[in-house]
Amino acid sequence: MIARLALAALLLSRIGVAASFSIQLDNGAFKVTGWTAPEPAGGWASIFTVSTGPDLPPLFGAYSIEGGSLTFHPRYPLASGVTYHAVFHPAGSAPLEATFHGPEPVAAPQARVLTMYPSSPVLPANQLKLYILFSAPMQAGDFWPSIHLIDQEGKPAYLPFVGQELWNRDNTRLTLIFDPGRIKRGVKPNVDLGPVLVEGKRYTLIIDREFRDANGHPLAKPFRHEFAAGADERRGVDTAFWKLSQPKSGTRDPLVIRFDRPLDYALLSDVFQIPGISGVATIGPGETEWRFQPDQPWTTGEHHVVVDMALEDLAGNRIGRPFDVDTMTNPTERITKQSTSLTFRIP
Amino acid sequence: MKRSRLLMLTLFVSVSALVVAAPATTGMTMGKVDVKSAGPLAFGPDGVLFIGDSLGAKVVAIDTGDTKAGAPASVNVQGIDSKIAAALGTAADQISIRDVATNPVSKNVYISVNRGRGADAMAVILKLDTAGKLSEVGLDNVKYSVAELPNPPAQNNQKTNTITEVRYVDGKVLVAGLSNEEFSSNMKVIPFPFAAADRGALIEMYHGSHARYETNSPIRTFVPYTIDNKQFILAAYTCTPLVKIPVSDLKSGAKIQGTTIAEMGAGNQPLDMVAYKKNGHEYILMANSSHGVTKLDMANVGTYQAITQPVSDVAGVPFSTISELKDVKHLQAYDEKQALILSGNSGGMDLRTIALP
Repeated sequence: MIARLALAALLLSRIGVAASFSIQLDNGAFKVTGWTAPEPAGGWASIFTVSTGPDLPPLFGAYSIEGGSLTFHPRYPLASGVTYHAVFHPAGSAPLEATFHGPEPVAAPQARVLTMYPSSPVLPANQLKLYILFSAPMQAGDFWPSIHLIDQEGKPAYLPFVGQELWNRDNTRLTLIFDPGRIKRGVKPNVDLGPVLVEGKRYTLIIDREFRDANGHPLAKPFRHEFAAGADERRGVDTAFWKLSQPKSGTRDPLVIRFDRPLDYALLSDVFQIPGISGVATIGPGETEWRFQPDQPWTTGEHHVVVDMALEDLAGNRIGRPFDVDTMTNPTERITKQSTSLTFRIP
Repeated sequence: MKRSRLLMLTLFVSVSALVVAAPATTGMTMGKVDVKSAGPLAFGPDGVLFIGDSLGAKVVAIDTGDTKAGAPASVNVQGIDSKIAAALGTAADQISIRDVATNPVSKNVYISVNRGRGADAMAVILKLDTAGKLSEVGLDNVKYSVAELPNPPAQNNQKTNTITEVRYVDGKVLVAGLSNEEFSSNMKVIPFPFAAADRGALIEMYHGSHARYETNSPIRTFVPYTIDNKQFILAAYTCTPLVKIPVSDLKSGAKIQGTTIAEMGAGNQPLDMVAYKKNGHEYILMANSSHGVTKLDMANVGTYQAITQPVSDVAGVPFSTISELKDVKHLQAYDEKQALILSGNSGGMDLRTIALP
């Protein structure tokens, strides 16, 4: 009888204690204030867990006693739009539950599509890549249903792009690669279906508002870009067709290289170097020019523009090597050097 | 005399055993390894897990210590994306599962996840043990080594190279990828254990069509495959041909033309492949982006000649579609009788083993 009374007192005292502590969210950590009992045999996780919903595993994290409070530090920061359920249930006590919400969503301005490259209104029918530039970082994954390519009759193109996400480092530029099997001559997709783009037809690239930015917001407005498909471009790039301007000595006039055809927007930013001369490079309209203004006036004499062989035109043709090499006519055409050089003379 | 010979023999055997048994984790560094993005996974010897890190432009090898043989098991986790998201304290639409890999010895499953959908996503490696318990593979205090890949210039924020497949074959780590600027083959071969500053050999992989047109094209995925005791990889290009390439050809600076043995059709990207044997026959199971899961009959593949003529329908090795497998995003080897698949869509993902068909 005495033993029974003692047990009841213990239970009452535990329930009494239970009423005096609470669960709080403090600076990203969940705390049970007023709990001073030692860690139970099953570990803190056996009496205190935080989860995002029923039947879901608890959050990863670490427990500690801080300032007299049992504290759970989630392994990862709390996410906006997520509800967290904290349950403290020591043996012999009624469970204590509390619900908290993740931080308020960031109220950032809505992102928009700035532009698409190539900027030319006519692209070769064997166009290889499109670059979509956004005003803010975007969400990766699951955006494909928001991208459409339709022809002039409004008919959507059949799976036009390689379904591989290709972002720059801050998710502000997306590269779309046309299915190369539709472009490369003689492979099954090309034989069966032909190219995605047909010479003489007009197309519109559409990006829906549902394309989400990094904060989960839709675009400010949808994006449409029209272009026409021209003739295939199957020739390798030949620097002999480029025209170089002749800046004068003592001036900071730009050196302008005019190409015989538009070249790849992204690669144009990377592939040119003028050894020993610093300056500012820009890409001219329609990606048909590269302009370089030196920081210091030009000096008389010979200079060189080094061009990385990675440069491609709109159809993936490289310097001296087409996208798909016809080995019947060029059986050994494989370029081994990394760069080529153009010489210009400042008078 | 007899005794000393025996002693010598014992010593010899011990030394030999020591040389042969030097674990693959020898020479690894202990500490925090920086993984900027979690990508393709592959297991090497001795519980070594390779992680492709596209944003970090490197392949990281970690010692999982997970080397104890597991009992025969199977996997069936409904809503794996929701469960992972919950453990990471976020919503299912805020994580992306990048790859899964089975530890071939323990049968524990490793999962690479990016938590967050923006450029600030955090790389997470998880372990799902054979009892179904999910835990995080710590990267803060782990034995690791790193192979840096040829990196874009530091000042260039635009150029990236997305690693699409990593495999360990015959002491080498093979890495396939796709640039967001250049259209080119990007296969890299890195001897393992990683040597300091070894950036791997870049190999140009060409493939032809009709014995006429030849493209220096990216490989999307590949799988090790042995034909007549010779080690090959079967590689799927972004422009769909499936080719066989001898591993012995994968040498620094090499320019290789693979032999096309099948064409998988338009509007489609092969995602993952598993090679297996069933009832004495050899097959490849292939997950595709839009053609479902296909089973390739590899009988007599060693005798196949390159596809050199235009083909209007199915070409090369015969294949069939496994119609009951839908929305398969990742496909990995599990054991001799089962494959591991991650399937589903934005409505929920499941991770389960299936009997090899």
